[in-house]
Amino acid sequence: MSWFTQKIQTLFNQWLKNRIPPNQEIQLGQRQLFIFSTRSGWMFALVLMLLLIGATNYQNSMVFFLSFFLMALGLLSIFFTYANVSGLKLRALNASAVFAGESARFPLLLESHRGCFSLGLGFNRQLQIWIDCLPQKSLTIELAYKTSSRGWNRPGRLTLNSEYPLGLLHCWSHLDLKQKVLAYPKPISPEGRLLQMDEEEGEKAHHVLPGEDYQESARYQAGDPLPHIDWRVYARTDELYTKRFEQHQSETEWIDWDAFQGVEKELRLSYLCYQILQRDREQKNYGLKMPHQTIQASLGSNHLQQCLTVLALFP
Amino acid sequence: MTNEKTVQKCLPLDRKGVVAAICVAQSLVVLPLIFQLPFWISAISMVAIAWRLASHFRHWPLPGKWIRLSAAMLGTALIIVQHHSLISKEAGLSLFVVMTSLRLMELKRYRDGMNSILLCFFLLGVNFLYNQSLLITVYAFITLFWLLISLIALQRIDGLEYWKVSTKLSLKQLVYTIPFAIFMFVFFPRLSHPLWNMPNAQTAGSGVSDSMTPGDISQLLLNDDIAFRAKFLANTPSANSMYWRGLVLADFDGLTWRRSPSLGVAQLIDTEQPVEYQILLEPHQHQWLYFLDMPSSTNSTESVRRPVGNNEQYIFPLSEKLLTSLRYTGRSFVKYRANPVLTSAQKNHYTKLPRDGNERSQQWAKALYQKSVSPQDFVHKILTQINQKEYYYTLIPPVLAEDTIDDFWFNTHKGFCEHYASTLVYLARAVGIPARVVVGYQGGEKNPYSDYWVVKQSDAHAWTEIWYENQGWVRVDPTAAIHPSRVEQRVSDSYRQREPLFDSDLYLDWVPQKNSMFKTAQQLIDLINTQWKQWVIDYNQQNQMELLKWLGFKDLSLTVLIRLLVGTSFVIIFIWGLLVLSVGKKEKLDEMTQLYLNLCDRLNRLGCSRKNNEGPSDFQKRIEKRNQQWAAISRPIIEAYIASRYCKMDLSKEHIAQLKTKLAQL
Repeated sequence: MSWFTQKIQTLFNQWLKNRIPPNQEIQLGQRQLFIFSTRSGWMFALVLMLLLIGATNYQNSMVFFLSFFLMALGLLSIFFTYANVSGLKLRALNASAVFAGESARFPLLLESHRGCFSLGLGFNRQLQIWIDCLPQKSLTIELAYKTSSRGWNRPGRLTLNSEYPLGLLHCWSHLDLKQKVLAYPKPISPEGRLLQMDEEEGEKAHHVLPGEDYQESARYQAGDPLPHIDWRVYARTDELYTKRFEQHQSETEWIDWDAFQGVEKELRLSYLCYQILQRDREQKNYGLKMPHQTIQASLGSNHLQQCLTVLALFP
Repeated sequence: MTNEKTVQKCLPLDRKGVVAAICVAQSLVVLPLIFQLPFWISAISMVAIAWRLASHFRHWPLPGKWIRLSAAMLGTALIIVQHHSLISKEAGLSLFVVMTSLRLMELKRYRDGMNSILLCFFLLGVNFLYNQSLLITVYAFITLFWLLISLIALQRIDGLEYWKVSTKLSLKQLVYTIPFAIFMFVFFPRLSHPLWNMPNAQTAGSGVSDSMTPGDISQLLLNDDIAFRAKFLANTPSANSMYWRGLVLADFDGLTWRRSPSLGVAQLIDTEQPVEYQILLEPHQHQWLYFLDMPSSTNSTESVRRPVGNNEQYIFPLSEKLLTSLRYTGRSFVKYRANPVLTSAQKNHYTKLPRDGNERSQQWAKALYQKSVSPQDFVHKILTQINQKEYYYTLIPPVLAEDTIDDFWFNTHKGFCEHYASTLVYLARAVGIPARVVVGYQGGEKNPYSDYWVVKQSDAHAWTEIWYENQGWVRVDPTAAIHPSRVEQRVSDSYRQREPLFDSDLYLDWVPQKNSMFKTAQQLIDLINTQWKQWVIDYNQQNQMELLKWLGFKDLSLTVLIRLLVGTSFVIIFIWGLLVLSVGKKEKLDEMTQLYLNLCDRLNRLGCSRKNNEGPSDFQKRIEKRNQQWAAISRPIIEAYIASRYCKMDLSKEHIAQLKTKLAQL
C-alpha cells in the first residue's frame, strides 16, 4: 500500500509543479488557491439541512428564512474566504546559512493590498505560525526549518492556509518559492587530534590579544570586525576607528584537508569547520587547503563565510 | 485530492474575548427560550454559562469529566421525569439546551468553540418554532449579528481585540446575505404539507370549544388573545350585528351542550344584503371555521384544508385540526330565511331534552306557552321576563345546583351568556319549539389605522336559534335582553357591543370611550403584526403560486421551478461573489501612473519589458539603446511620470491627454 500512496504522492507533486511552477515571488490567484469545506463547514451544512427539514415540517416561515440566510452565508463565504487570501504577494528572501542540524530561518516578505487575516504558514503541511497581513503594508516573517545535512537544504513547499472569516471553508495553497538554505558542516572538535597538533605547533602559536600588537588606528570601514573598534577613540571623537594589528604572514595557519588522513569525509569536514571557527574566534589569520581548491589566508567575516561555503559545498 | 490533508495547528481558544463572546452568544440564544423551558433547565444553562465565564476571567477550575457526565445523566433523567419521554418537541428542546450548556464546560479548543456557535445557529431556529413575531425576529437578527461577530472573532488571531473590524465585517456579511435570503424565501419551492408529522405537544384547542358547560365562555372573557381578523370586501355590517358563527350545539344532557350531527342540507332562501369578507384565522387547533351569520359559501384556495359546508347547521367543519393560521373568504347574508321547512327527524332532534330533571322549568314553560298566542310571543315573554326581573349578567355566577336550569331561572338569576342561551333553548324545547345553541364570537373592533377588524377571545359568545314555521331559524340573543343596569362593570364593554332587545335610557348614556394612548399604540402594533403575519409568516405555497402567476410563470411544475431557482441562484451568487471580490481589489491609481503602466505594457508586448528592479529612468536609458523611435515616444511620458510621482508635480489634464495620444503612436 505504501508503494501505492507514494505513487499518488509523486503524481500529485508533479501535478502541483505544473499548476504552480516554482518562482521566487508569487501572487496568489485562482491558479494557486484551493478552497474546500472544513469540518466545521460540514457541521454547518448539517445544521442547515436540519433547519430546512424542520421548516418544511412545521411550515415555519422564519425557520425557512433563517435556513436561507445560512445557505447564502455559506455560499458567500466561498468568496469571502477566497477574497481574504487572493492577491497576497509572497517573496522568499535569502535565508542565512546555518550549521547542519540547526534550524534555519527562512525570511518571507508578504504584501497584500486589501489585507489577509489569520493566515497559517508552514512548510510541508505543518503550520507554524499564524499572521495577519494588514492592508497595504508589507510584512517580513521567518519560518523555521530544521536542516538535516550539509549543503543546500530545501524546506519543500510552503503551505499556507486560511479559514478566515467564518471558519466554514479553508483556502490553501502549496507554493514553491525556490527557498533554500546553505548548511555548513556541523562543527565537531577534533579532540585528541587537535591537541596533538597544538603540541606540535605550540611553539609557534602566537596569541594575538586585542591591544597587544596594536600598531595604528584607521577609520572604520564596513566589514571590520567589531571587537577591533577603538571605543575609547569613539568616546572622545564620536568617530569610529578600527585598531589595525600587525599581520604576521609567518604565523598564518593552514587548515588542511590532509591533516586528518583516514577520517571519514563528513567527520573530516566537521573537524575543519571547527578549526575554522576556532581560528576566527581567536582572530588569527588562516587559510584553507582543500583537495581541489586553496583559499589564501585572511581574516574577517567574508573570509569565514567563503571558507565555510567551500566546506558546505564540498562534493 | 485524497492526500490533501493539512496538518492543522489550530488557533488557541484563549484569545481575547473569544470565550466570553461564545458565552454571550449562548445566553442570547437561550434567553427567549426560557419561557418554553422548565425553570430548572434555564437554571442549569445559566449556571453553566456563568461557570465558564468565571473560569475564563477568574480562573475557576472547570468541572471534571465525572461531574460533567453525571450532570448530563441527571439532566436526562429529570427531563424524562418532567416530559415522560425524550422524543417530544419540548423534551428534545430541553435535552438540547442541557447538552449545549454542558458542552460549554468542555470549551477548551478551537473546534469546541466552532461547534458551540453552530449549535447556537440551530437553537436560534428552534426559537422560531415557538414565536415568529416581529419582535422575536428583530431579536433573532441581533443574535445572528452577534453569532457572526463571535464566529469571526474565533478565526481572528487577535480575537475580539479589534472588535470594530469583526463588527464591520459581520455587518457587511449581513448586508450581502439578506437580499439573497429574501430571494430564496420568496422563490424557494415550498411544500404544502410536512414531510412527516412532527410530534406536537400542543393539542388542546384555544378559544371556543365544541361543548358548552356553564362557565366555559366566561373563562374566555378576560383572554385578550386574537381569535381572528376580518376584512370586509363588500358591505360592512354594524358591529352589534356581527355574530361570528362557529358551531351549533344541540345535544343537552342536563349540564353540557354538545355538537350533534347535521341532519340534511342547507336551505337558505330569500337572501338579502350580502356581505363579503376575508378572515385570517389564528391556529385554534379545532376543526371548524368561523363565518358571519348567515354564511352561504366560502372560498378557501387551500385544497388540503378546504372546509366541508352545506349542512343545515350552517357550519364549516375542517377535516384536520387547524395548526397554522388560515386565510379564507366568506359570503353571508344579513337577511335570510334558513330552512323554513323542517323534516320530522330534524324537529325531533331539535326539541329533544333529557328525560328527567328541571321539572319546574318544564312546567313553567308549558304554563307560559298556554298563555301565549304564538311561539314568537312565547319567546318574547321569556325575554321580557329577563329584561324586567332581576336577572344579572355577571362573570362570576354562583355555583348551580343539580337541576341547573331550574336553579338559574328561579333562584340565582345570575349568569353569563351560556346560562341564558342554554335556558332559553331548554324552555323552548320544553314546549316543542325547535331551538339550538350557537357558539362563536360577537362583535369585534376595527383597527382605526387599517381596514380590518380584530375579534378577540374575549368576544366569545353563545346565543340561540329558534325555529319558527315559515320563518325558519331565527337568531335570538337572550343576553341582549338583560337590563343594562344589571350588567357587571367588567363585562359592560362586551355587553354594549350587542344591539339591545329592549330600549333603555341607560344604554343611551353610553358614549364610546376616547382612545387612550396605550390603546392607540396597541392598535398600531397590531397593524404591524398583521402585516408581518400576512406577508411573512403566512407566506406559503399558495402565496408563492399566486406570486409566480402574477410574475407570468403559469403552470410551473415543481421540477421546472427548482431548475429555474437553482439557475437563478447560481447567477445571483456569482454576481454577488464578484461584488465581494471586487470591493477593494483594484488599487486606485492616478492617471499618470496608469499611463506609465500602459507604456510598460505596450513595450512589453513589443519585446522590451521592464525589469522588476528597474526604475523609470534606467528603463528609459535601456529603451534608448534598443530603439530610438520608441525612446522618442517614451521619453516625455517617463519624464512626466517621474515629475508627478517623485517631484509631486501636478500635471494638467491637457498635458496628460497629449501624452496619451503620443502613447497611441507606439
